[in-house]
Formats: sequence, C-alpha cells, structure tokens
Amino acid sequence: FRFKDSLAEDLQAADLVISHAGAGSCLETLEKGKPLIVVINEKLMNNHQLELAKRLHRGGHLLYCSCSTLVETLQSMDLSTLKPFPPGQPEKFALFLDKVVGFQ
Amino acid sequence: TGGHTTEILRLLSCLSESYSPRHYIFADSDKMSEAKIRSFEQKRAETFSNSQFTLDRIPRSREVRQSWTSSVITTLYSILYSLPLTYRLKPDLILCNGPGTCVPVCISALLLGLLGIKRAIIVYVESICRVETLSLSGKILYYFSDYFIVQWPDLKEKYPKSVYLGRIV
Repeated sequence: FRFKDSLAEDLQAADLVISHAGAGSCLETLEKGKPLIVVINEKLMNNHQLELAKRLHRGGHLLYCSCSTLVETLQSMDLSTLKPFPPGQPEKFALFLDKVVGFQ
Repeated sequence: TGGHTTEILRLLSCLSESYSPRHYIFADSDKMSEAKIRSFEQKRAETFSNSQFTLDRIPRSREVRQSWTSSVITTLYSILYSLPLTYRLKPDLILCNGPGTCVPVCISALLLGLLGIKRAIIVYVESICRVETLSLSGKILYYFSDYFIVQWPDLKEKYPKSVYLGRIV
C-alpha cells in the first residue's frame, strides 16, 4: 500500500475506514460517504491538522479515538449516528469571482 | 503542493472559459502537481476547445518548519525569482490558496502594481483544513490580498475582513 497513486478504488470498496487525522484522508473518505474513525497520535496534539478532524467530529461526521482506545471504539461504535458530509460548492466560488472581476 | 493543488483545481472547476489563459505556478520541488494540473486541463479541453494554460516553477520559499531567519532569505530569493516571471505574465487576477509559493508571487504582483506596471486582483482562498487558525501564508496575505476567502465561520469571526462563502472545495 505504501505509495499507491490513489486509494479511490479501495475507498469505494470499503465499509469502514480507519485513518490518521490528515485532511486529505478525512475529506476523501467522507466525500465517498464511508464511515470514518480517525486515530489521533497523542504526541502530535498541537498539530493544526487536528483542527479539521475535531471540527468534523463535532459535526458528527466521524468518530475519533487514540491508538490505545481503538479496540474499545470498534467494539462500542454505532455508525448509524454519523451524519453525512455534503460536498463543497465550487459554483459559489465561481459566482463570487465573476462578480469580483466584472464578468456578470 | 499536493493538497493545495487538489483544492485549487476544485476551485477552478466551475470557472467559465473567460478565465483564460491560466498560468499555473508551483514549487520546483513539487513532483505531483504537474500531473494533476495536466489531467485537469486535458479534461477541460474536452469541453472548451480553446483552452490555454502554461506551467512555471519557482524555487520553494520555505520548507515546513524552516527557521525564521533562513525563511526570510529563501523567501527573498523566491521573490527575486518570481519578479521577472510575474512581469512577463502580467496577470489580471491571481488566485492562490496557501502554499508558501504564493507569497513571493503575490508580493511581486504588489510591487508591479506599486510601480504602475500592472495591477492584479489578488484573491486568496484559505484551505478547508484551516478551521480555527490561518496558515502562515494566510496571515501574511490577509493584509495584502484584495479578497480573502475562508471556509469556516470561526475564521470569519476572527478575521472580519474575510469573505465566507461556506465550503467551496
């Protein structure tokens, strides 16, 4: 798995994804509508990367835990409580930019 | 770099063909962005036949966690390098989203504007990963960009001059 170009196929086939808190991993997984558990490295607690994972957790889009609590989380998790993560809307950006440059 | 390129290509995905030609500038150390950009532009060319774009590389201004003093020097070097490039391209609009690479390009554009050579509109979109704090590029360009877009409401509160459109990538 080390350096596959894209995990898209694997993600599509998965029923559950367990990942680190990297933004790319979180977003790609949530966009495919897969349930996600993020495992946080306690030693990197001040890493800004956690901001997104924490916010997504607050929004009920993923579960999170640490390495030591992973097994417990897997045993007690209720994936039906996870809320879907709607896709971003680049159309809004296009509309905004058109106004800014005068292309209305 | 990686995530930034993916985000910026998503931002470009709904833009009309009036935004042409597109000049992509990225770090010389970046191995993956070129392929992503070409793939995006290739798909685009299927819909818009006169699609035009160019690719340019500049020296990376700062490595992750590089020290303050050496960052100033490498950034200055990147600015000197970007100045002739920006002068040649004379962009009407600069769209950037956070890698260190964007700072020297924007500073070059500001200089060209100050010298009366070409005034570009600078639009900065902070990464979706930034929920509560701005990146270093963001903190700098918040003051120098014409439009500063954030994707989470907390940032809009902290940085009132920013624009919040919701999630756009």
